[in-house]
Amino acid sequence: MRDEPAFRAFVEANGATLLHAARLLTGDHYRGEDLVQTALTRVYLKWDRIDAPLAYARKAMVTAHIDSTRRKWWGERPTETLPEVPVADSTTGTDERDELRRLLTGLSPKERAVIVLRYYCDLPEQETAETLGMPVGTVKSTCSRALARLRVELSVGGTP
Amino acid sequence: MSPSESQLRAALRAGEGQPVNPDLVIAHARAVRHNRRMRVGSIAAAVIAVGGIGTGIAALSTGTNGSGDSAAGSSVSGDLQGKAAAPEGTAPRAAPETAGGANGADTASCPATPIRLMVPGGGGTGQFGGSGPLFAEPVDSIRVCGYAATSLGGRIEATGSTVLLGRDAADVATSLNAAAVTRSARPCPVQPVRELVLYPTATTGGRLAPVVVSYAGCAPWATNGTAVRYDWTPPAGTSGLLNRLTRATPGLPSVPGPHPIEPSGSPKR
Repeated sequence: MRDEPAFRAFVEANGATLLHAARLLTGDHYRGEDLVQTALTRVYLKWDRIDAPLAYARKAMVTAHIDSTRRKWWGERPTETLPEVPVADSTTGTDERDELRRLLTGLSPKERAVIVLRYYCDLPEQETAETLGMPVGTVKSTCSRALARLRVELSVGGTP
Repeated sequence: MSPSESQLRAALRAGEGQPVNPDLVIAHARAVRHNRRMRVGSIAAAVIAVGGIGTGIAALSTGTNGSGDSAAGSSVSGDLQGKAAAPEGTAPRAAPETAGGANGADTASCPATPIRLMVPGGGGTGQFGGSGPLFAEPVDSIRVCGYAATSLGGRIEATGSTVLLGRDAADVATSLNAAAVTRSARPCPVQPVRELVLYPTATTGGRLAPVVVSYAGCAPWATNGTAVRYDWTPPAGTSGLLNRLTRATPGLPSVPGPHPIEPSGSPKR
């Protein structure tokens, strides 16, 4: 890689936003870190060939997240014996306090990606559609359906 | 509760701000790139290895049949050109004694060792089919490969090759077909093995069965594996060339053999 300082500056400028978006996408603190690392690694490996690194990073992140939610026979398997010592999730309390973000994890990966890109990354529908590789109409319908589900969940959760 | 867009945005932005360490990302990316290159390199090495093994197997398999001896045959042809003053070129062509020049009917090379054909009936006379023609069809050309032993009982090596064309080829085939079908009784010389292997091409373009002419024993015999002839004398036009192809090692004079052969083929005690 020829322009490593530029990549370093890019990570310093956009890393926090991408990391937060990754956590919103995965609904998990550590999986979000893994996801953003995967996306930034792809950006690093293609840094000399990409024109819009932020858009590329967003697309890589969303693609990697959606791919990871698909069932793979060669993928990771749940196990009863954890190789790592469990550590308390510092964001658990925050997630519990924030009902909206908790409900976000109940959406499908694509719905969650649309919500995150539209309302966290503030991307217009066209750019969201390009990032997700789907038509604008699908973005609109998916977003509408996701918001409706959030409203329903919130209304059900708010009912005593 | 029904969330507005602003509420949703605010909820999504809560907790952001934790930076990403670029050094960790770069270190991880370098490790990924290194692993990827190692994987590609190992795959390329495996492909090259498999290709090399395949090429070697193919070379070995072609080396075990007739076409694989082209290298040896080329050297044989070159040897002949020096001995028989054949025309230029690497492919066997008609020697000066042959008329008409090369017609390209058969320019393949000779094997490094002569083919082996069983003499019908174990070399006896009058066996079924032994008197049949050595050349089943009219011959257009004959590639002749010469072999000779380096000494008495020594290893047989290729000594040269040539291609007889047109009338020369036809005369050789005719004379071989017309040779005796039984052995003659005469003193048996002891001399190093000399052999000619004839690869004829018919006038129709098809390949005929090869004929081996051997001077190993008392009388020269020729066989295509089915028919057999004895005491063949090459036509005058080609005898010089064929003799040079199978010339014995210099310095080993022919001497009379101790056991004359009866016409029946059994040695006289």
